Amino acid sequence: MVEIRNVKAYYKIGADIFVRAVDGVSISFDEGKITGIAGESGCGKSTLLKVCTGWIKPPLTVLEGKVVYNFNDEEVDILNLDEEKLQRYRWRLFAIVPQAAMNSLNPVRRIKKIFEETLNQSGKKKLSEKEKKMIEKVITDVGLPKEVLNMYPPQLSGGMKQRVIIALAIIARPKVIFCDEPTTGLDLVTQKGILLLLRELKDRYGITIILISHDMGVHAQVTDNLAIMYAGKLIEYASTHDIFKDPLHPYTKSLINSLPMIGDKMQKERLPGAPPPLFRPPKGCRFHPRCKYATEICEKKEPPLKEIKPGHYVACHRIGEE
Amino acid sequence: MSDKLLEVRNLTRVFKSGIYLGASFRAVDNVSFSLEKGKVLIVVGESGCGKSTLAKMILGFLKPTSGEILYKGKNILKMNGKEEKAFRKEVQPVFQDPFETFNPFHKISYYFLKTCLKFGIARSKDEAFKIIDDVLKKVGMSLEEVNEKYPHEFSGGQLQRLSIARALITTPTLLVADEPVTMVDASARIGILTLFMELNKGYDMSIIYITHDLSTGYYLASQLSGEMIVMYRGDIVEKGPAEEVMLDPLHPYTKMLLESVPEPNPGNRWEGRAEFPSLELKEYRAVGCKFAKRCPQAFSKCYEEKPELRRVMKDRFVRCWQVKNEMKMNKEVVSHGG
Repeated sequence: MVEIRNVKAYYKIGADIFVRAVDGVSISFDEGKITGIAGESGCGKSTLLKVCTGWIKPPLTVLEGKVVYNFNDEEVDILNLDEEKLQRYRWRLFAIVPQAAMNSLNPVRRIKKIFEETLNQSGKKKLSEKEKKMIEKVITDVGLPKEVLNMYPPQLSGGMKQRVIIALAIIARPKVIFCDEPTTGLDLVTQKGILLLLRELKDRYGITIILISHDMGVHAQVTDNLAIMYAGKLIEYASTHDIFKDPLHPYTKSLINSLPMIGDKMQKERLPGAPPPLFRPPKGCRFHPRCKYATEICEKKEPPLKEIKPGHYVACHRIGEE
Repeated sequence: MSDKLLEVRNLTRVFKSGIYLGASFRAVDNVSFSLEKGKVLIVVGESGCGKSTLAKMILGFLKPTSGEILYKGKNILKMNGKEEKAFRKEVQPVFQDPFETFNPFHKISYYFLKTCLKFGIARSKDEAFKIIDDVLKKVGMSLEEVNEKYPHEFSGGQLQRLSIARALITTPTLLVADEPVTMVDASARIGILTLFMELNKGYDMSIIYITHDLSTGYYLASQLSGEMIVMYRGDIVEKGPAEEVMLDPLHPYTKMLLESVPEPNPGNRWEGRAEFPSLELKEYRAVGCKFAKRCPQAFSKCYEEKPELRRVMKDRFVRCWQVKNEMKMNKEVVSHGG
């Protein structure tokens, strides 16, 4: 559905200094599935989302790579589109639920008005009956009462606002939605609701969902596939089940093993050190300074992403060598 | 009495909200508990439950509307200068956001030196640096790593370690940690929690660990066997030995929270459809049980009369009409919680 081919997206912060936030990432997102992207803050997961949606503004620059959407049997490389064309695909082909979006709803606009403005981007002035029906439909889709349309954002709770944002994202029935930390800042009970809602939308409309979250519990609960990023690199990609049951990369392993679980009394291991700065990443494998298995080759050569088992990709020199 | 390090009695804090004239809600509502020296207390609850307000009052940053906080038997609001200085020295905070703890324009060592000199812990700079090196070693860092560096040169996890190290300079007896791992990345979380465990075991430090994240709360509890308080809209709804509360919750709210924890195990996924709570300010002012509107088991009494926090088992306290009293002998209503 969406294919990312060897994307390098850097932030230019000085004459010759680049923050290499996404550095040679290739990945494809399966249609009708929820793909999770996990990683610590500053691993490049939000930048990847920006690239996927053509949301590229200085200092972010894409040096290399393609983002290809397969749309009605045609391939669209969205990094090669001008703003006008991109605008046409936005909402219809893909939509975004940005991080902390619920706080960006204009507080002095009725919810109804916000929906009208979203639909009116195409230039039309008056809403047709059909469009009004559409708005009511998406509002019920996300489990909100219709009265919400006549309310203002400050009258809604955080969870309700986030559902309004999701309703806005799906109003033009996009094929793909990107959700960046959609439950951060929400209560546990509300978080569960939002995540189950995303799962329902996928089942009901076959929407492809890309879910970015730092919370491995969130990924375990709702994603089908899971990509693990570390310091601008994709280091492991497999079904969520495989990532949790059989993590291969040493970083993924220690990440999974460090998760506290209720009912599990075992003392967890901690991973020493911190991720490297992205403007000066280490040579070779970016994880090698923290990796207890690191050898000479890890310091010199960057490990490529290899398919070890069908559908399970890992970038580590140790894996698949024996 | 003497082994009680901290005692909180009927603590209440009322905030006025301006939208409706004179409307007010109780952020912390008649909360009582006590903490012995060297013990751990875990406070869990969602945003708006009053846990941070509670922390601020314990630290003396916010005045309670009513009730009192006794530290080593003394009301913290009625201390004389000397006592207050000792209190400030012995009770140290650890905040949620390590990036806000440190001013980006000052070197990290500046904070350490300032803390050292302010509390009269070191007389000279050399002596201060020795102490600083000491506390940094306790958190797994060293003076070489830190000296001459600014906050932005560290990751969130490292900064949180540094802010704990800074708190340790005064050799506190009590750490009040409000969401200390929330802003820290997953792989660094266990490191911070392990540090709390070491401080508690090695230095007999008491810790109040406040969190919305039940799994880190459970982890700390399972390693240190502390007490747990579950808060909802300003009330303590459940109290007891932390592990028991987490593995065998009694209050419907505790149960609901535990069911909403995203377990990092794709083999055990949530079932069913999305359900959402309806949150309203009304709950703070409701006559009956504050949780009644969201409670799957609520019956008429729950809407009419507020349940007390009562003892239902040996160390277990619950604020719920539904929970049966397992202690047949005494039906005492415990308002002081201990």
